[in-house]
Amino acid sequence: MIHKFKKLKMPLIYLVLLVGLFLSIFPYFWMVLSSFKVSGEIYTRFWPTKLTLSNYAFILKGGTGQERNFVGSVINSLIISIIPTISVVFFGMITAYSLRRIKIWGYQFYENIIIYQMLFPGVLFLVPLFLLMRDWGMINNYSGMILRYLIDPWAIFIYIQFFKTIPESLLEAARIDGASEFKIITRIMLPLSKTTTAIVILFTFMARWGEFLWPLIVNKDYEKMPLSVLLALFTKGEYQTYPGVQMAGATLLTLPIVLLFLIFRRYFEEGISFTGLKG
Amino acid sequence: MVSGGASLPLFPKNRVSNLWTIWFDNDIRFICCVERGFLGGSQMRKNLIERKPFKQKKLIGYLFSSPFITFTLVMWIYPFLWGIVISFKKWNLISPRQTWVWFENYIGVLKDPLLWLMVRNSIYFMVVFITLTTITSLVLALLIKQIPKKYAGFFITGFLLSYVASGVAYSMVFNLLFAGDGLVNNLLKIIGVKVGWFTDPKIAMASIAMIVCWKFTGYYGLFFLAGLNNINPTLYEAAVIDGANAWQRFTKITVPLLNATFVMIIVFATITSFNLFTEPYMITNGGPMNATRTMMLEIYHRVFALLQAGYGSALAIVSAIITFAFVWTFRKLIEKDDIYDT
Amino acid sequence: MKKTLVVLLVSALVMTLAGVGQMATTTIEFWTAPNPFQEAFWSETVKEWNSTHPDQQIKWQVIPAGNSSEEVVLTALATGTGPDLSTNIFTGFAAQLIENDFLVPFNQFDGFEELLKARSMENIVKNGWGFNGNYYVLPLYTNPMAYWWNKDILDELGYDVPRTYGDVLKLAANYNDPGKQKYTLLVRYEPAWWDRWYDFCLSYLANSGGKPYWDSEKVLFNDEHALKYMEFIDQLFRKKYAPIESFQDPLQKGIVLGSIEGPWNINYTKEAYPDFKYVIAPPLVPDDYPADQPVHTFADTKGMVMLTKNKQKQAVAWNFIKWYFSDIRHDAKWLEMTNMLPSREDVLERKEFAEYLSANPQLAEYAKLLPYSVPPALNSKTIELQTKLNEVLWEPVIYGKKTPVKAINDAEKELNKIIKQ
Repeated sequence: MIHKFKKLKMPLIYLVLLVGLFLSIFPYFWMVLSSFKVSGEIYTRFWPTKLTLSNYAFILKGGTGQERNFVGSVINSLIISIIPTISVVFFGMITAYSLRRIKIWGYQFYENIIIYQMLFPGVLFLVPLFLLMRDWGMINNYSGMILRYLIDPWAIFIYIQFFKTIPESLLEAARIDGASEFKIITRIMLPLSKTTTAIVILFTFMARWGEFLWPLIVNKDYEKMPLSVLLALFTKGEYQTYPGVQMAGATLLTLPIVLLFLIFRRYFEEGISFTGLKG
Repeated sequence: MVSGGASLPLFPKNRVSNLWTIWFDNDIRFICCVERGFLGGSQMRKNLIERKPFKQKKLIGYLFSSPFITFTLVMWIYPFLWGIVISFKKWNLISPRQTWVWFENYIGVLKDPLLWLMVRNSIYFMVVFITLTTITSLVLALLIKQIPKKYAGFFITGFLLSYVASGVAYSMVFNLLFAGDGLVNNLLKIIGVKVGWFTDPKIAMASIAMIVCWKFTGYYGLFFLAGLNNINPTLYEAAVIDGANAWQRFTKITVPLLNATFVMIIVFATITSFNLFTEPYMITNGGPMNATRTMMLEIYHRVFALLQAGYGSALAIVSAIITFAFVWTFRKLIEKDDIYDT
Repeated sequence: MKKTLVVLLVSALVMTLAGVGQMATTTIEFWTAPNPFQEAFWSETVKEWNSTHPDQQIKWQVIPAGNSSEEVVLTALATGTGPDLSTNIFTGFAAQLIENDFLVPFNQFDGFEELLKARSMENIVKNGWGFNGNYYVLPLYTNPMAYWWNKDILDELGYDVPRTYGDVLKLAANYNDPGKQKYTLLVRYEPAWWDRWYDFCLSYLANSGGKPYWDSEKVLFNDEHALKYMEFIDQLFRKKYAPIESFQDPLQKGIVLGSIEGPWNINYTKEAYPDFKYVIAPPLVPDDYPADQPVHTFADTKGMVMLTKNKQKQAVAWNFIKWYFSDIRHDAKWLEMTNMLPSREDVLERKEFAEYLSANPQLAEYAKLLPYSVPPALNSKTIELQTKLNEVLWEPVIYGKKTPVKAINDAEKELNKIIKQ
């Protein structure tokens, strides 16, 4: 009896995992499939009788009247994702370096502040930051959407954690060779922290790409609207009755981030293997 | 070690440095912790003994950290204080007239039965979400631990795919999948069941918890996997020798040693519950019967639809306090002393 | 040589013209409703204006609204990024904007009275859109709401189109079967505040002969008219005659037999469900409502407002308004493209509309309801009131948490509190 179970155990595990995997990927699959269906078949048929590109044509055309520029909104999304990502990595690194490796006066105090910043709910800042953006004339432009995300305490925190592990002797050697502090960061710290940086990039980009509430509040200009907001307005307001078009939009919103994730997957798994994932 | 960690009220105290914490201020907040091992504990201790730095280096250090300090002052401390000030005022964002009403907004918030309904909604969400998601992600981690590494990577990637979906997109997909005549109900019709997933006030919040669980299972599974990998295998061997069966090994070794992971996940799930916005905004708009109204939705509605900035700010502060209270209570209840060191 | 001279001359001329054009061009920002058909209409109309008025340009965009355009307009105004001219404004919202001093009264401009006469909307404007003797809104369209009934199924069952609540209950008793997805009446349970216009407010107007459900002072609906309707609603849900799940187009798919619809759905239905046959009927009334009396209905009516304080922009905006409203061709085109009825007193008389209406009998049915159409009751806190109405009256009755009597009493108390604030 027990013997029999042992023999069945591995196939059973794989079966459960595959079912789970199916459930976790199925909504994506259905989304992509539906985006190629004619509207009438989305609810009624699983396998479409014919495939159509009309949903994509519809959103690329931008709806029925106004130039509602989906291509433009993808570019907007890229702008408000890429700039913070670069900035978060850059400032995360130099701040962490100055706190942990140079140990400026009061660095412990700042490190505590960073942890508090990570803990504070964003809801507390929604209204005052909105007012700040208003007073600075940053409503309806990119800086309003970007500014508050240029520095991320979380990124500083994990760089601090990582920099702790780099032996000081390495840095001292570089300093004796005449390397400036900035050079140490770019030539030694950056290559060493490849995995950390990859994960900072992936997660920052992901969060900014999918960001919804903040750009919804600070931008009402269609020309600068990121895809997530444009799609939400599109779906909730004008095109409630066009499920195929909605799914085409959702596919457009999901695709880049999935691709990015697949590209960075290596680092993710590397990070996990560090923790000793062994069979 | 982050110095002064002991003074932090909400964060697992000894573990701050052991956790890889990834935090976003997004609609759903998430944290990734890959515990221990990653950072190499022994190395860390060695680094505590360091040489005294010299002056010029310090100067550059100030230069490097000044953007962060400026940012903290301008985008963090200043708005935080301003938020508190606004909560004591009555102001419609438009007129130059701002009147001090002191605690009137707070009294209004606390007297509104909607507040308690929203707290109840969040608790409901929390219970369903935490139960579902800890079970699914723990099972996932336990299963992946059993299989060879070369396949593990494939499954991890596959399960994490749901995690990268953006709130707007997957809300749209699930809204259609779970519609009255959507795919799920059409399948259930075969066995003669019909569920108003997002329209029955009793289960609407549970449905949302379910789709959020869909998003987080792979991700939290990763936490558990990291936790499992940190358990010394000799413990299990010793237990087998002592005659413990699989269930005993699970409850006596695995679960207690995963305590830190449980704490992290429950803390983050709690914060997620109280900050829910995109999913109810996209799918239910707070209905039916306010069953999916969350504090974020209400703050948004108060401030941006009714222009009640003061009331909205007061509600934001109350909601933060409630969140903290829950986080604190959970930690009191489930967090054990650091078992690793014993 | 000659050629060069000509080229030079022409280019000099072009440059001068361009320069003049640039110097004198005033651009105003114009927002319109987030609705695909209106969007198509304004796209063309604004293009036409812009091509004929190079010095008075309009930058047009759809109100970037997710849940409600009012919310978006308000936030935009709060940040100083609002439009100069906007449509999609209902009376209650206009009142709110006026309280905050955002709107510009039209009656201060030259030619206001003439414009009202030219568009045949003098009575409409003066009897429903006035605020303290000023006129801040020019109504664009008036959409009476009406019931649609599935003709094929009714014929098959041998039933007439229901007129009263009793008719519906009788029909339901013989037809309804939730297990087979056969429901009788669609009652919207969405929690959005404006949804209450199309059920509670509409039915109160129908039962009371057009009496307003509240005014700017207090709630007026606590009477038998509201009670009869809510009791009907209570019955529908207790007996599962109305579905509680969300369906896409349940009426067109035959999941329900009847539902309240606006004329904007005619085009969509024609496109997506060409085979679907339906009858358009006035709102349902209680059993004791005399059969020979006309039934009032709610009309979704929205107008155009001017928000800019800049004199130069005001002039451009006013020119555009005069150009738009004084030309009946615009209204005719509006009717054809959006299937919404222009807010004019002569819709049924003018030949410009007659042809289209006779070709679209369903829309003509709506036009017949125009004389009995009542716009939303005037109160600057409409959004807040209807949000509360939903919370304390509508949903508790639908989900069986309160009796209709208690719900109405509670609603009166709570809503009066908001009005008095």
